Amino acid sequence: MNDWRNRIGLFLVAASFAASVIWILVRPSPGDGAPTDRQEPVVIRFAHVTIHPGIIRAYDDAIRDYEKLNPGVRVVQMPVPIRMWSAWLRTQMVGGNAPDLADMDRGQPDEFLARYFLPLDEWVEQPNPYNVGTELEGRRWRETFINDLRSGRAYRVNLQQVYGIPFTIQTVRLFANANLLREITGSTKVPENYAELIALCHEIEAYSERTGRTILPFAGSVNHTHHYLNRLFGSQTQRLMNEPAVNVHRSFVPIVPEVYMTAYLAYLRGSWSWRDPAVASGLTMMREIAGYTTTGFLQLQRDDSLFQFAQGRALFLPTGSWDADTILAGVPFPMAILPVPLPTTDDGVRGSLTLGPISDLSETPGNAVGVARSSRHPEIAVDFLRYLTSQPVSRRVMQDSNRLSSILGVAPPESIAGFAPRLHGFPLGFHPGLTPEGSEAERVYRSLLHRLVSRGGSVEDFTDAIERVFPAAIMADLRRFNATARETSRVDDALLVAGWVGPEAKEATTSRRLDLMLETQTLRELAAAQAEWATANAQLSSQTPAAKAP
Amino acid sequence: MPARRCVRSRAGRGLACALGLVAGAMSRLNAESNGDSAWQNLREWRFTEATRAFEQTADEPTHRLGLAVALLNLQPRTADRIARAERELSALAEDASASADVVVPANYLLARIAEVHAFTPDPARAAERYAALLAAHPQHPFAQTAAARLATLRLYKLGADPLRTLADLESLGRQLTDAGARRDFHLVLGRSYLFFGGDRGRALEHLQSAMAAGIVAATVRADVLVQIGEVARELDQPAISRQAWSEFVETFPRDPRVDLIRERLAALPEGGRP
Repeated sequence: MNDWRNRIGLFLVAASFAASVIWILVRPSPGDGAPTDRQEPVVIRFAHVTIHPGIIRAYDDAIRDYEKLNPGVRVVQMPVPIRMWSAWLRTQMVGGNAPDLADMDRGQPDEFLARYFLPLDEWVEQPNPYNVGTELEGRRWRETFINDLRSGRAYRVNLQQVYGIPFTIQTVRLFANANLLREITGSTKVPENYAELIALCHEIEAYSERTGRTILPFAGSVNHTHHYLNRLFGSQTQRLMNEPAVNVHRSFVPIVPEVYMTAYLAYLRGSWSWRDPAVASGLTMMREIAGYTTTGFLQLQRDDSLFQFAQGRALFLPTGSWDADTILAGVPFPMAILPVPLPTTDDGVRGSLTLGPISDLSETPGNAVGVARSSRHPEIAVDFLRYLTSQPVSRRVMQDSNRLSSILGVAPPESIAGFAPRLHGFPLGFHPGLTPEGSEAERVYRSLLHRLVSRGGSVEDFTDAIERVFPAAIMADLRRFNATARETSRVDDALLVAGWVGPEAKEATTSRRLDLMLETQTLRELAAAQAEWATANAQLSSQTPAAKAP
Repeated sequence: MPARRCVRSRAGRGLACALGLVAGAMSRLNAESNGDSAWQNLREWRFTEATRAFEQTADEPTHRLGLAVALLNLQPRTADRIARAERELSALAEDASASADVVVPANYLLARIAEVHAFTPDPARAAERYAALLAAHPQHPFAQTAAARLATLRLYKLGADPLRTLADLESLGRQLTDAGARRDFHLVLGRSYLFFGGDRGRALEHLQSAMAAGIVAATVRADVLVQIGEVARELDQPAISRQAWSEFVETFPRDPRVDLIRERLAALPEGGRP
């Protein structure tokens, strides 16, 4: 009897042990695998700053359709006001409560991206499945974007990796008050180049004097005017940028982060200075246009220039496609949209410094969204990005929100057709405002700009002032660049070792990923070494005028 | 007493054996799973968790490598942690019984500590370690990745005369058999000849060699094609320019430089040998 009872007891112990073992072996890990009918849906949190109601609505519609296609997934849109974005995002990331998808091009520095966002290089080399049945079917995801994801922000040149998927492309144009233009000139013909623009500015001045009604050529503010001034300057440094003394690597760098790095190093080598004829010409044009712009525009904000333009007190408003929807909705008169008038190659000295029309392909894309490193479902987050940037969905979202799509073959909404990106032309040269956001060079440039554009200022005054502080500023920026490069390299070493000797070492995809990482690390460290060498061996043009070229 | 009687019985002994076997298997599974999760934590930048997990399984040589790189990235970075990582790696590097697949990465990481991980980098020491690694394991692909790093150090941080150093480095490239190592080495030399205003003919050869070895990133491929075309144009080798720029225009039709390159392509004189 006792023996029998013992056996029952042993059987029960063995059975419960076996059941526990089986349960431990077969239970799913938390967050593991695809959702099943009985599981909670996978939630993808999508945080962004484009809180315009039209855009939020457009995303909502797309999300609804995505969820129908993927019943186990729920996407939660989290619009956050831009003023709180940086602090909010940092808090979420550091606190381990990060959204899966987040705007990554709102001034986030490279080191922040490297730490908290996933590089997307592997994914962008594969086709976007949501483009099946379109002209983009079978193309690599990267190749479905107007600029091949080559431009800054999405592609971080310091990190040499793609961190963001841009939804839009941004172009800069002038809005013209068509009624006022007819009133002043008798026609609605818009200026096609810089010389015609200056002639029109004279005409506007004469009209103001004649009628006693003060009309300015440009409504200005710190937000709107910079874009135009930068283009004026950049048109004058197009040829300088391609001189072998500046373009030492012979790669004709086309995009903003690389452009400023090349320009910085060339400055430290003494290959250009603020007194260079091309630079002086750019500054002269900036001052000329500033003279036709609202007085004190550096102290004014976006709404001020918008108000002045909407009231018919200025003929032009220079702005970007990101503003178009607001302006079209808020301005009561008919408008023309025209490309920024720049010098043509036959325009005397100014023309000799330019290469020709500027291609919008080197423009920085907009609304780039990245995948948080802490996302528990990066594959699904990327899948949703693929859906949003597929040709049919992008077309619908952009139509609904009056923006320019970053995707090939998606025509702009009719109302902003004038902002359609120009796909032919030449890269812009460097300009003072091209420095990365938050850089020391940008800070000193902006703090001194009033000495160029104010009534009492002059090109000479600005040049004297910036020459005193620019070298230290760019050296500080280069040191920061190098610190980021080192930090990224340190983490790369861990990832390389994990790939070399970890459990994934034998997987075929690992080898390609490691190869890409090594190539990237090599070039990043080379660029950092060159920056350090240039800083240590600086020979500024103003110090050694003879040392102009290598 | 029933339990003792039970163990003494045949069924009890069988069950005890089974429990022992299962417990052993589970402990092995647990160790493996700890190891896997350690690597996963490392890949996902969770260095605190990775360190903890590797510490539990540190009898495995590869896990000691993992522990060392986790320690190198553990926040806050401290000199003590770096020193501990260096001790782990030195022990692995000197372990005669360890395989090359552990010894080579350990030596490589020792050089990396001197170059990028230490609070006060020591480029000379890093270069010494890279050179020793290349000499000891000339055929190992991991060791060969040291060549590009060694070249960068010697050119930009150690050499007083970069042009002379460039000439000295030429022989280093000839011993490289791994395609990735060759590519990186030639990229460094090609770009450095141009940066220091050295022999453009040598720069062109290195850029062409890098391209032949296989460049992975599309952005880098685009840049190198443009560079090859332009350097060849300056050297009056229009056929090489034509080949590189035609490939660039065809492969990267939406690069912002495409019209600039088309214009230059059209202006090339006829003829020349590719």
